[in-house]
Parts: sequence; C-alpha cells; structure tokens
Amino acid sequence: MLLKGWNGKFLRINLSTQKIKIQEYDEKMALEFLGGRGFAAKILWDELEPGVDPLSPESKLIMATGPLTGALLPSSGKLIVAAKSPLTGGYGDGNIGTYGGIQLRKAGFDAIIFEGASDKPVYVYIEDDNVEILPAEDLWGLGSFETQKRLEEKYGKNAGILNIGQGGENKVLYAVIMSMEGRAGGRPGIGAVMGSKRLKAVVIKGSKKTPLADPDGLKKLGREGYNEVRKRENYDFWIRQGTMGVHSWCQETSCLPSYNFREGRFEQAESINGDVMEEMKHDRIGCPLCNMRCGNRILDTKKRPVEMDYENVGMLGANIGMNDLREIGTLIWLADDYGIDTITLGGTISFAMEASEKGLIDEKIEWGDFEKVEKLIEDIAYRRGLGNTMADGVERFSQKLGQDSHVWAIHSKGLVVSAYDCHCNPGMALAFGTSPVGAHHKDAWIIAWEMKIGRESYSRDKVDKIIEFQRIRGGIFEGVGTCRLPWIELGFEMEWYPKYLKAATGVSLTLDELYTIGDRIYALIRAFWVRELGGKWDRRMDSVPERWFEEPLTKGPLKGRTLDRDGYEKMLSWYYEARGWDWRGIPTKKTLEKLGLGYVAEGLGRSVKLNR
Amino acid sequence: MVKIKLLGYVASLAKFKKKEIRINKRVKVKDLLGVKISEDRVIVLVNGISSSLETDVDDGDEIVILPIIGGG
Repeated sequence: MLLKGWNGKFLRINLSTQKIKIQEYDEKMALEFLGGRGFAAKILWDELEPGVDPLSPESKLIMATGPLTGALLPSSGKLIVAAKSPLTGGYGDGNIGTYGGIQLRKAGFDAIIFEGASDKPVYVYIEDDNVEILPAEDLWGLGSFETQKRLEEKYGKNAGILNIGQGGENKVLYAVIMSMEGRAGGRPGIGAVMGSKRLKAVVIKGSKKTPLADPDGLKKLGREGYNEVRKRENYDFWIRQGTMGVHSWCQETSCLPSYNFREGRFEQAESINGDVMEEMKHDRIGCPLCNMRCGNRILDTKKRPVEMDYENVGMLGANIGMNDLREIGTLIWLADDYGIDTITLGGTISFAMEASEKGLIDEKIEWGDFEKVEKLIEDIAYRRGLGNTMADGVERFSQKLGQDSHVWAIHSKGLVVSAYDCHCNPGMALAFGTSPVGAHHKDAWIIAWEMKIGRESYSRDKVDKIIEFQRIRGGIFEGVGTCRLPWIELGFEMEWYPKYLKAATGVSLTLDELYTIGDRIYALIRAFWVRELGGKWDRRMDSVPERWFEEPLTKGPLKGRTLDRDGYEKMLSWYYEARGWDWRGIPTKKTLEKLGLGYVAEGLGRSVKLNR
Repeated sequence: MVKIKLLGYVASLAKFKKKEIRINKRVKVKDLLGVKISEDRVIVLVNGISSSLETDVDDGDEIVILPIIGGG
C-alpha cells in the first residue's frame, strides 16, 4: 500500500483449517471502496458463492475499519461487521463503536475475514501479527456481559473485545455482535453468523501506529473538531438525554410506534420519555474517542446499569405497550446480554402480542405484560417453544401464521422497521424501503426535513434527499469509520471529512467524489441482493409494511392517515431513475460500468438479464 | 388560553418547557415565545399539524415547538 491512512492489510482467519493469512490489498481497493462497509461489500461480492447458506462454513464474516477509525477526531471508534444475512438472505451489516476497531488498526490491519467454522467453541486472540485460535468452552453459554468481563480481566480494559451472547450461539436470526458494555451491531443476524462459526469472541491488541500522511495536521484538525462539537448549541441537551430526546419528539409528531405500529402515539409516553430517563440517570457511557457519548444508563428493576437509547426504548416500550422505564430497562439488559437486536426483538414481540390478541396463536401474551416478555426473551435466546419461531424474525413467523398477518408484520426485506412509524411520513417510508440492509434508519432518516417541506407530499425532493443522506450516512460514514451523530445531531459540518481524509491518507477527495464512492457501494450491495435472490427479486422487495397503506391511524391529530400506494410507487420509480437502476430496482449495465463495476455487471448478468 | 410546549434545546433557549398563555386576540406563534428563534431550526405544530412561527393562533390552540433533529 503506497497510500497512508490505510494499513493495506487484511487478516484472513480460517476457523476450519486454522490457517491464518495476512493479505495485502492495493490502492485501487482503498480509493474505490474507502473502507468499512465498502470493503465488506466488495469482499462478500468477490468471495461468496451465490446462494451460500449464511450459517454454513462457506459463509464469511467480515469486520472492517475505515481510514479514520482510531484517529483522534470526533467519534472515530467505529467498526463495521458484515455478512450475508441469515435473516434477510441479502447483504447485512452494522456498525459498533468499540476498542475492537481501534485495536485492529493498531495491530496493523484494516479488516478481518473469518472463514470456515470451528468444530468446538473458540475465541481468537490477535496481538499485532500473532494470531491464536484458543478454546472457548468455558465462555460458551455465557452472556455477553460476563464474557466481556472475563476477557477484560484476562487481557485488560483497553483490549478490543467483540463477542456474542447465547443469541448468537443459538443462531437467533437477529443476533448481534456485542462489545464493551452494551455496544451492539449487526441487526441482520451478523451475531448468528459468528455463532455458526463457533466463534465466541475476538480479542485484539495492537502496538503499532497506522502511518498517516500528515500526523501533525490531523492532530490539530482533530482537536479543532472536538472543540467544535462541544460548542454546538444543542450539545448540552444532547449530553443530558442523548437519543432519548427523540422519544417526546416522536410522540408529538405521531411517529412513536405503539402496539405493533398500529398507532404513532402512546397514551403513557410521558412515563417513559427522555425527561423520565434523565431523572433516573445512573451514569453515561459510550464509544471510545467520542466526546458526545450517548449511552445514558439507568438502573433496571434488578439494579443493573442499562443503556437507554431511543430505538431500544421505542421498540421495547410503547410498541409492546410497556409503560415502566425500569422494566423496559430489564428487557434491554436481557437483549444486550443474550446479544439479540433490541429493535427486531421489540418488533417480533409486538407481532406475537397482536397474533395472540387476534387468536392466531395459543399463547396468551398481553400488551405490556413484563413478566411474560422477560420469559419470552429467554425462550427466544434458547430457541424454546414459541421462542424458537420468534427467533426467526417476523417475516418467517408471519409466513407460518398465514391469513392476513403479512399486513401487520412490520418489516422490509425481512428486517423489522426501526422505531419510527410512517403512516404519515412517505419520505421516511421510502428511506426504510430502500435501505440496503432492510428497514433500518441508519442510512437515511429524513422525518424532520420532510415535515419542514410538507409532510404528506410525494415529491421528487424527498427522493433526492434520501439519496443525499444515503450517500453521506450509508456511503461516507459507514466507509470512513466514524459515527454520523456529530454531523446529523449537532450539525458538525460534512466539510470536515475531506480534510480529515486528506490529512490521514494524503488523498484529496471532494464530497462529490465521496458521494460517487457511496453510489458505487450502493450499486454493489444492490447487485449482491439481486444475485442472491435471482428471479425472485422484484421491486416489491423495496416495499414497506402493508399496515401503513391499509390501516389508518385511529388516534391523535393525524387520525385517518395512511400512506398512498401510488404515491409510494411513484417515488420509488424516481428513486430508481436517480440511481440509474431499472424499473425492477436493478442497476443497469451502463450504471455499473460508469461506477467501475463492469465485473459486477458480468457476474450479475448470470443471475438476471440486465438492462442497458 | 393557548397551551405551548417546547422540546429539547428549544426549551433551554426559551427557558420553559410548558406554559399556558391567556390571549385576547389572534397572535402569531412567534409572539408567544419571549425569545427569538429561527424558523429553519424548528418544527412548529399547531394542534398537531405542521405550521410555522408565523401561523396565527386562537384561543384553545395547542402549540408544540420541536427542534430539528437528526433521528440517530
């Protein structure tokens, strides 16, 4: 690697053969795909056999950093975890703020590729170039918190540790990878992929420094950035409530999912919002290298500190009819300990509650029944009884139930919608529908902007805004290895990032050039989905829950509102047009070639007929 | 009486979270705040419907002013 800023090396670990390989990659890879998600998507496209079982040894698990991971600048502690998703069958990833990414960079690598599967439980210890695959029988069966604790005792607090709980071990299809105390990533079941390889944990310690183009310049710019973040006028409120400030916001705007997304408001929202959390606050934790840490913790019903983020509280609160913040805290603690995605868990439980209410399942699960839900989460983690069905997510659960349950199975591409109701947010609905991992808000969240320009309109402006956000959030931030929150929550300008990249790598990249990288990654991820689904792919894959079209809100000022199907389809067509994808949502040959993905066109052409 | 509720750092700027204000005539939302807030930084709801700081309010109206947030 001639460029600075990237280490230029991947670590390849085969858990079947125990072979370890250090592999160099070239400048072209760095400049075309940046890092993080870009690297993950490229590796998965190049190396996975189409149609591979995501939980088989032939499947691969990627952990990838970006060129800014670990640099001293705002919120730069991010690591991407990615694989073919066992939940959705398409591309899946997530990001985690963790010492894991920082230590991986210090060990001299930009990414790890796990291949094969071990016969017995193992963990991997990486110390610079020394890599050991060690027995993990004593850790297997433990929750994430205890696993983290034991490995920290052995390797120190600053070691980068990634692990799975029982959810990942038992291949709950929405198991996540965990780190530190409650950091989680990989909603589409990336933790299950790790579990399928019998890989309980990864511990990383590095002693090197990634070569930088202008170390002094980067240090200065980084310090300025931290100061800028702290000076923002909403900084204080952010520190007080973090993402929990969103709770009241969503209640007021009828976006707070309640009773399985039947409504956008919850009658008891005031007992579980950010103000209540603030009064109960125990302490605040967060990701390394961040000066706006959002991990506000309260004590749960068993006096355990637990992190309260909006998405978790939204999905395991109003959406399942819960009105006690400490009880919600206990549910979040369990999900974090088992290593299960809180969002999908909340959406799967709310689906089961509605199924119970409608008499479609034998079990009685009432809205807001804390004890019952506590037990259900355990059953999901261990795949017992109804929990076994629920461990497969709402789409499969709904396919089992049949009847009209697909209408109220709240997902897109199999991934449960994160905590924003869209009965009256057509732009946000499209953002969920076109998210590259299934219904996640991380690539584009446009509700506030949408409200400013006209909430109920189906306009081209909204489509363009989604693409702009996907380029920034899904392209740049998922690629460079820093968190999007300084920018999106505190208004820390995007213009900082080309400067950071220049100082780290020596390469001048304009925002427009970075957007093109984002477009390339998006086209590649879309190609991955289409290659996996083949003839089964069509534009319905980009749709959103039927409930938003069919069943109007019954409460509040927006009573009677639904999404308009024709309006949604019109925006989806505009979206495809703007991206250079055809009416099916498949990138055209011309688009792929323009993005330097001619080889992808060739590969994809073997699965479906491409349009020019 | 009009009810007014401020969220997030907008409440910090105006130094109140909730207030009931008696009005004798129609007024604009911005006249009820006691502090100058820029339109492009906030979302204004009057009776739950998207409005603006220039919207006229009548007796009995409920106003909520929310910061523009990023949504995580």
